[in-house]
Amino acid sequence: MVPTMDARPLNAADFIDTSASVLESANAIGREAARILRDGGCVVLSVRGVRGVPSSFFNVVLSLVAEALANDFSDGRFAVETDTKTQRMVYERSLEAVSRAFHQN
Amino acid sequence: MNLAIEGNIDDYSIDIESLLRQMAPVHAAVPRHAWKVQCGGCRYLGPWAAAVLASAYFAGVQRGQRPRIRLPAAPPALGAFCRFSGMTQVFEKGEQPDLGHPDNETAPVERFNEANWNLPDPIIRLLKRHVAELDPEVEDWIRTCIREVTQNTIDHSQSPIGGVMAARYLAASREVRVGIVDRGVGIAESLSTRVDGVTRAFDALRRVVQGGYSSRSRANNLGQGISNLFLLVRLARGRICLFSDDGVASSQSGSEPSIRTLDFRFPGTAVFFALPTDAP
Repeated sequence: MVPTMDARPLNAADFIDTSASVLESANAIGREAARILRDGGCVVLSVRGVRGVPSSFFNVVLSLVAEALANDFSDGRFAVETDTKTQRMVYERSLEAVSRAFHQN
Repeated sequence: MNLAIEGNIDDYSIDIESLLRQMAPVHAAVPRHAWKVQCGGCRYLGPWAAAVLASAYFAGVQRGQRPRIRLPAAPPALGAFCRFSGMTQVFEKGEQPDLGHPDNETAPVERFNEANWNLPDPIIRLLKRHVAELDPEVEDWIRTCIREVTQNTIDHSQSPIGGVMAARYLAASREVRVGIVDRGVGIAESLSTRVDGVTRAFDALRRVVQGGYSSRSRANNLGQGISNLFLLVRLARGRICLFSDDGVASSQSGSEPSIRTLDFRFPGTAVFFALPTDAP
């Protein structure tokens, strides 16, 4: 489900320092997304144009988002925009893994 | 200890397995035990071999073993590869070649201690010099594969030398070949701290290739890195082999991964893959 009204766009590229670690930017994006969600807002995270987003990035972002959403991604307040098949695959596998990890915990 | 490497070490699992088996005595050498490896008998070395040799050298320095590696000077193309790969500079203190030379198809050996976004950049720059228009999907799967491996190296390997990466573009086959090697604890030992019942490399490789376990210790580690890597290589119809301790997992031309136990041990984790650079 894609957020519709008042979705705050977050562009991953704006948070990425190419000389820094992947996890640093993931934490920054995840914290910002979680803050918006806790305030009652909606978030659309775009990784368009970012090449080579690994599972660790999505795991960190989605873990922070899951905490803010109480692991309920079905309410449509958070979505991810991708522009390659690889990004979509990695994101969906991470979403599944994060949801499973929260359920087990 | 003196070791002579025999054969042509191409970037195929059978060749790299042969190299790792021949180097087993060096890999097992105790600290401060000097060793020398002669590669003069080889007529081909690729980036996979370069990553193995460089990691052995750096580990040898770190362990006080005064390592020496003698590279082949002939045929001329092999001598050129040894220079452009950076091996001549590292092992024999040779001069750094002009990496921007239009004929250069090699990204030099690089050590890394952090999983930064820009690690794949030298390889992508190399490809963009040779491939007229590198498709965004192709660039994405190459960068993603590299980042899945390097992030795993930094997160789990506890390698005292970090990771070592080498790569080469092969115009004839239109593929990029990448080798990433660490000298850490290996996947079985790393996984045994997080997943019950995993002690052997065979079982550990089966778990990580399949993916899907969870770690309560770190949010970024949910067990998909290696399984994503194998899936991406399969979907791209590339080939991959991963060695850790006495286990190897491999896949080629879109096949299901196979896992088996080796008759030697590699002290660390070594990942080798080749991906097409043509648009899907």
